[in-house]
Amino acid sequence: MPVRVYHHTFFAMNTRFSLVFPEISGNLGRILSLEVRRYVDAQEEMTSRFRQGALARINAQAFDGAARVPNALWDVLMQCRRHWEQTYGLFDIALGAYRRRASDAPARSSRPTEHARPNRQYGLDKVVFDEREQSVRFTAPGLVLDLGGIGKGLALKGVKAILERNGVDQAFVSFGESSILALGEHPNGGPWHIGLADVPNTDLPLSNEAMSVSGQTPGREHIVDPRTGAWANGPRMLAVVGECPVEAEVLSTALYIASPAERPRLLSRYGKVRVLDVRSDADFIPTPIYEGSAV
Amino acid sequence: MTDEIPDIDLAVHGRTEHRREVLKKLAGGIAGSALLGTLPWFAPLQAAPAGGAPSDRVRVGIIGPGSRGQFLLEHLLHTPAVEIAALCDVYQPHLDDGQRAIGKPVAQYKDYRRLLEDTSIDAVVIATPLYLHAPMCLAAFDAGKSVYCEKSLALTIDDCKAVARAAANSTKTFQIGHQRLFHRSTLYALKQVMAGDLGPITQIRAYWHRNTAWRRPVPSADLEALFNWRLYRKYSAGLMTELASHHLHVANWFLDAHPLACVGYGSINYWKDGRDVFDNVNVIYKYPKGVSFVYDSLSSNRFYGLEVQLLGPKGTLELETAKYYSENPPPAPGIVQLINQIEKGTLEAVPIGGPSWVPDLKKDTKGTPLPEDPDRDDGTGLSLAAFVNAVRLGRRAPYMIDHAYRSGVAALMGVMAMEEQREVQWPGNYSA
Ligand SMILES: NC(=O)c1ccc[n+]([C@@H]2O[C@H](COP(=O)([O-])OP(=O)(O)OC[C@H]3O[C@@H](n4cnc5c(N)ncnc54)[C@H](O)[C@@H]3O)[C@@H](O)[C@H]2O)c1
Repeated sequence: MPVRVYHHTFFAMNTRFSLVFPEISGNLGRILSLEVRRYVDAQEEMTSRFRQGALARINAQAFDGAARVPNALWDVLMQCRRHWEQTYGLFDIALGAYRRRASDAPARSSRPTEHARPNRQYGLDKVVFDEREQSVRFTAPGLVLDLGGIGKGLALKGVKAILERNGVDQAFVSFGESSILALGEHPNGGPWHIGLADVPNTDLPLSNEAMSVSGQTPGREHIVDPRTGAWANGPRMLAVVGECPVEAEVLSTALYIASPAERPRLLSRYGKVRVLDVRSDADFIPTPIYEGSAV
Repeated sequence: MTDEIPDIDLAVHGRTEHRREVLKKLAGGIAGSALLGTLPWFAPLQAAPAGGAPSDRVRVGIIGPGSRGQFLLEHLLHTPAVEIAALCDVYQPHLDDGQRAIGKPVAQYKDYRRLLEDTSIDAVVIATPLYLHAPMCLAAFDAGKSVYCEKSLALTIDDCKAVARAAANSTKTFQIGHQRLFHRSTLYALKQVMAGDLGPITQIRAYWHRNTAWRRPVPSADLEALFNWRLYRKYSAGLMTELASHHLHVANWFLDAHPLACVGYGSINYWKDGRDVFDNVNVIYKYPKGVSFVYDSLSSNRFYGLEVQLLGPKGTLELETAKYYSENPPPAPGIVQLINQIEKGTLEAVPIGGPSWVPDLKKDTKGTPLPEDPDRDDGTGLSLAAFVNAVRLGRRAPYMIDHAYRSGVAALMGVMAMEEQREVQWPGNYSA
C-alpha cells in the first residue's frame, strides 16, 4: 500500500522550511502547513534583526536608554541568557556587531592571530537586563542582539507543539537542513535515519528528537568566537542530536566554538545529547560521541 | 481545460523542406494526443503537410505587404503548399518589395476588390492598417476567400461584431494574427497554469513601455496618413489595438473569459506632435472570479520594457521573458529522497543535514526558463502553417473567431473607457 505523503517547502528566516507529513490528507496537510507557516513567520518577525519587529526595535533603541521588551521576546531573551551562562559564555546573542563588521570587511578571517587578540567589546555582559521593568539596555555603542543561533531551534520547538496539539505524531521537519525535527517514528517502522548531506555513510537514528548542525561555509561564515570577536574555527561540521530543538541548536554552536577538551565540561551541564564531530581532515569520525549527563 | 500539452518542438522556420519535416513530426505528435482538447486551433496541423501535387496547392493573395505583411510573406514563401499568387498595395514600392521577395512575377493590384475577383485565389492575408481590416475581411468573405487577418480585429466594436459574424457564417477558414497561440514558451506556460503551478490566477499584469515617437519618416507629406496611420484615431486606436491587444489576448485565453468591464485613463503627455491617439494608456479590466488585468503602455520611457505577468498564490509566470518564479523554494534533495522512500516503503539513511541552506539568488530569484524555440520563433511560422493546412483541407480554424473577437473588443473597450471617461461594459457576443 503506497503511503500518501504531504509535503510543503517555503522560505523563512533567509532559508527554506520543509514539512513532510506521512499518511495525512492533502487538506489537513495544507491547513497544518498554513498554521506552521504563520507561526514561523510571526516568530521571524519577532526575532529577526532584519525585520521590523520587536528585536529590531530593541536593537535600535537600547543603547540610548532602557528598551521595554514584550513578553514573548522577554522569554526568549531569558532563555538565551541562561544558555549563555550554561555554556560559559560561548553561546552569546550579543555578538551581532562582530558579524556585521566581519561581513563588511573584504577579507574575512579566522586567522590564529585574531584568536589570540582578546577583543571584548561586545557580548551579553554588555547588556543589562532589568527583570522588574522587563527591559534591556546596551552598555556598548553599536551592540546588536542577534538570535540567528537559536531562532530555528525556537521555531522548531514551537512547531513541535503545534503539531502535537493537532494530533500529529509523525512528521519530519527541516529548517534549512541545519535544524531538523523528527517527530515519532519513520512510517516504515523504527527511527528516522538521517545522514549529513556531504558526509558519506553518516546515519543518525532520530526518534522524537531534533538535530542541529553547525559549520562555517567559506565566504558565508556566521559563528563568532566571543572570546576573540573573530570567526570561530571549529571542525568541518558538528551535529548535536537531542530531545529539545533549542538545546540542540545552542549546543551545536557552543560545542563548535569550544575546543574538544572543553566539550565534556560544557556537556555536563545539559541533558542527554549525542554529538557528531566531522573533522576537516577526515570524512567522518564516528567517535567521539559524548553523552552529556543530566544537570 | 485539463488536458496535457505534450512538449513538442514547434520550431517552424527555415526553408520549405525543413518546415515540411517539422510539420510532419508535429502531425504525428498531435495525432492521438490530448492536446486538441486544450488547443483546438492545432487541429489543422494533424494533417500531414502537403506534398507537391497541384491539388495540394493553396493560392494566397497578400493585401498590404508593408512591414508585417512582408514578414508574413517571407514565412509563406517557405510554407509547404503555398503559392503566392497576387499582391495588393496602394503603395507601389511595397508591391515592388513583395515582388522582389517572391522572385517571379505575380498579379499586382492597387484595389483589393480586384484581387478578390480573381477566383483562382483561395485565401488572402490581410496586413493593412486597422481601419481597413473590417471592410477587407467582409469583402473577402463575400468573395468566398479564406482570411488570415492581422490583429487587432477591427477599429470599432460594431465592425468587430460584423467581421466575427461574417467569419462565423462563412464556410471558409478565418484566422487572426495572434501568433502566441502557437508560441512554444507560451504554450508551456499554459501547461504550467493548468498543472496548478500558480494556483488559481489571481491577477494578470502587463505593460509595454517604449521611448519612441512611433513615427516613420515620410517621403512626402501626402503619405503621412499611409505611413503613420497608427498615430491617427481615424485609422487606428493607438497603443491599445497595436500593442495591448496581444496581452489582452493572453489574458482572455489563460483566464478562458472575456473582460466584464474596464476603466482607465490615457493622455498625450509627451508626444504633442499632432497625433490624436494617446501616448500613454492605463487600463484595468475586470474578469470573472474577481480577477483583474492591469495594463499600461508608455511611449516616453523604456526602462521596464514589455512583459505580461500571471500571478497566483504559488508562483508567477512572465511570458515575454519566458520565466517561471515559484513563491516557494525547491525542497532539499534529501527531502525529495525521503518522500520517495516513504512512498515506496523503503528505509535507508537520508543524507540531508548540513549548514543552513541559503537561497541561490541566480536560480531562486531569477526564475526557471520556459522552453523556447531555439530560433526564438514567436509562433508566426506555425500559425501560418496551420492556416494554410486548414484552407487546403477546407476546414475552419477552431476557436479563432473567439480569440479575435475577445481581444479585439477588449482593446477597444479600453480605448472607450479612456476617451469617454467611464466604465465600459462588455458589449456582448457577436451573435447576439
Ligand atoms: N502580429 C504581430 O505581432 C504584428 C506585428 C506588427 C504589425 N501587426 C499588424 O499588422 C498590420 C499592419 O501593420 P504594419 O506595421 O505592417 O503596417 P504598415 O503600414 O507597415 O503596412 C501596411 C501596409 O498596408 C498598405 N495599405 C494601406 N492602405 C491600403 C489599402 N487601402 N489597400 C491595400 N494596401 C494598403 C500600406 O501601403 C502598407 O504597405 C496592423 O494591423 C498591425 O497591427 C501585427
